[in-house]
Amino acid sequence: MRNFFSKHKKFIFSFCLIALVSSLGVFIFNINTVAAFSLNPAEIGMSILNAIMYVIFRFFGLLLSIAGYLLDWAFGLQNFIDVPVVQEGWTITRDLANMFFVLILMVIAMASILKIETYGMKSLLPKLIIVALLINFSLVFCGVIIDSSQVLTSFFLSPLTSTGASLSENVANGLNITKALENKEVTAGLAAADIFIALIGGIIVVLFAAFIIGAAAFFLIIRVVAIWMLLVLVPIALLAIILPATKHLWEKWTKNFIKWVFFAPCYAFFFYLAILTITGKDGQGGFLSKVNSNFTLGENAGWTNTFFSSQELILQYIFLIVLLAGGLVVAQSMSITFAGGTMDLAKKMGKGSVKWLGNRAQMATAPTVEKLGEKLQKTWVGKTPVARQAIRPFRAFAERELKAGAESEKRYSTWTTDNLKSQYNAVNPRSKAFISKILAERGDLEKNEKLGFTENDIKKAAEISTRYEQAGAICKARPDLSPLTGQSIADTIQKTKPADVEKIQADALTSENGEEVIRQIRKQLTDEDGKWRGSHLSKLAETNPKVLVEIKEKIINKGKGSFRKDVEDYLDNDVGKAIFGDKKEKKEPNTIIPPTQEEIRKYG
Amino acid sequence: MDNQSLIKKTEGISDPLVKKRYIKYFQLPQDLRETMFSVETADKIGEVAKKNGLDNDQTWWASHTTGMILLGEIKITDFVKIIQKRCRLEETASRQLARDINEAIFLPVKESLKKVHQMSEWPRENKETITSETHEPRLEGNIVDLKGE
Repeated sequence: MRNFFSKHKKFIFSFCLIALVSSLGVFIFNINTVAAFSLNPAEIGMSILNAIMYVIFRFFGLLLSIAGYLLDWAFGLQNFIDVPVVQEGWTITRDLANMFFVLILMVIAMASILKIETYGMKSLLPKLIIVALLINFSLVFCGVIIDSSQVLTSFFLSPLTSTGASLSENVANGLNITKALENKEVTAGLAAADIFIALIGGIIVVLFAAFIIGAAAFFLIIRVVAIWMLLVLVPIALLAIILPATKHLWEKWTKNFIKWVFFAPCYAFFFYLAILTITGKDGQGGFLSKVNSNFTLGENAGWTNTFFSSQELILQYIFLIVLLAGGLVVAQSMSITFAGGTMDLAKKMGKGSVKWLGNRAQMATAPTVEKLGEKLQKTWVGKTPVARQAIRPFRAFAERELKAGAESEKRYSTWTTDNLKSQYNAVNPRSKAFISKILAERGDLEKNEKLGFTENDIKKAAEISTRYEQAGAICKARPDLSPLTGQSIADTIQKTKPADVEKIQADALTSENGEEVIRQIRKQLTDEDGKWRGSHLSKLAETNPKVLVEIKEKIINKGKGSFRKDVEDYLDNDVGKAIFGDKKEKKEPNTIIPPTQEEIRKYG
Repeated sequence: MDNQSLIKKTEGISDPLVKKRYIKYFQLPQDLRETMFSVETADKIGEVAKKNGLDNDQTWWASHTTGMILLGEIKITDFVKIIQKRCRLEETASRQLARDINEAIFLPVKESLKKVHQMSEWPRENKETITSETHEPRLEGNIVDLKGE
């Protein structure tokens, strides 16, 4: 007996399998009229095949169902931050990053001493400060970005789930999968073959759908894990910003983070579009009712009772699968492009903002650092052979500042006055100092509201230029602003040489300190030890008529006879008085010069 | 500094007469511009005034008239007559004063003055030629009469 089974085990096994599968055909498909146990070998064969196909169909159906659940779960995920793996992992990497700061500070100190610019104070210190702050808040910032992507995802998916159906149910409805097994009218003989064909069609549809939904679910699950890992690594990635050699790691992190975070909303958008295309908005019918093809869809002749009977259904399957697959590809590509674009933008913005912050930090600290260096130089530190090396970074810093200033001056010196004024508010403080110096030396430190160069800008320029030791030129042009640079108006006026009067701006005599300027000029012209001579007035008349007219009006005409002798002599003998049409000219009764039209208009 | 910039500098001058004369000044040849306001010119006028015994008022008018000639506002041919009138001097004294000013101020810049007053020849050099000129301002004889005739 035992030998019999061993000998014929293949046959017995095959028979049992056939019997089992055939019975499945009866019980599962409920095809009573089919002669399941018919002795017709063709029909028996078909039944067996049907049973096998059905198992395969169910298997893929199961896969589709699992993919659907996963998709629902992955799309429905809301919390990325408050999971133990992220919380614990992030805390560890944050503490590690904080420890590295000490190390980096030492690297910067060494670099400054050794004058290695790449790792110098100038480029690293602002970054270090920003990164130190960012690291401790990194999880919160990332959380905000993730939340924004989740809000976007919900925005696209909420119309689909508003009816209470899950996302996978929406897909299943769109696929109309039950149709695969529908056999409207079973005809003996042909029924088994029809079922077989229907199953093949169903398998194809379910296979594709399972693959597409599975791929989407897979990507969404990968996304979750990827985001967790990226969140854990964010402190290290931020730390990588500081040193130029590791900066690419931060860029890599950002690119991946943006890509994975925004994959979900991108795919949700296409998922929504795919379902909307098939089912239509608010149940108004799918796209097929709108496209108006010349060909009217109907039943497939010869297959009226099978899966392929409805041409409309076939089109729906094709479109849904293609749309879901296309959506997946496009979402992938979009999120990567978005990540790339965001990276480029962030790079530009980051470069700009870090540069801006760096400049500001440097501008703000420059005077202090320079003064500190000077003070240290004078103390025992500067005199002790080894200790004085500590001053080198300060000196190097001051030298770099001056060098950068000289470069700014060189660059702006070729610009026109109007260009300088219009660009004034768009440049950093160092450049402002040198632009105002150039304008002052050109004798054109005059406000121009149209170009956005205001009186307030000129006042600020006086303050800024003091930091860069460029206040001298500003004071010569605007002696009234001398107090802002730490000098007195009296000193500035006294030190003004004939060659400098050309640069004095008329506003200096009319501003709020204008009266003091006038008083000091009068003093210099009247006092015995006054420094202003006829040559000052001569140069003013020659090059700066606007200011001379003011001085004539406010000082000379009012103080005739009170000036120092040399000044009085100049005023009496100066032939240039012809230009000013003095009062005596008006009184001259017997002039033989015919008056000009303007003179007639002016004097009557 | 170019002329355009200098003319721009007169934009803030409110008195139209001063503005007009300044614009004219900026269009003068360089040497005349330098002469106009220079301390040296003022000193020379001072010396001439002292030499000719002018009081303050007379000095003022002498310098004013000199400036007007440099500017081209007064015809150089009228110099003696105007000096005589404004400084209220005798003819001989006014000729002497004009001669001194001419020597101290005008002669060093005579080429430029010839251009400003549209003269082809300086009066002293060729009286006949100058008088035959038809340019404006037209010369009616030697402006200063340096020979005292």
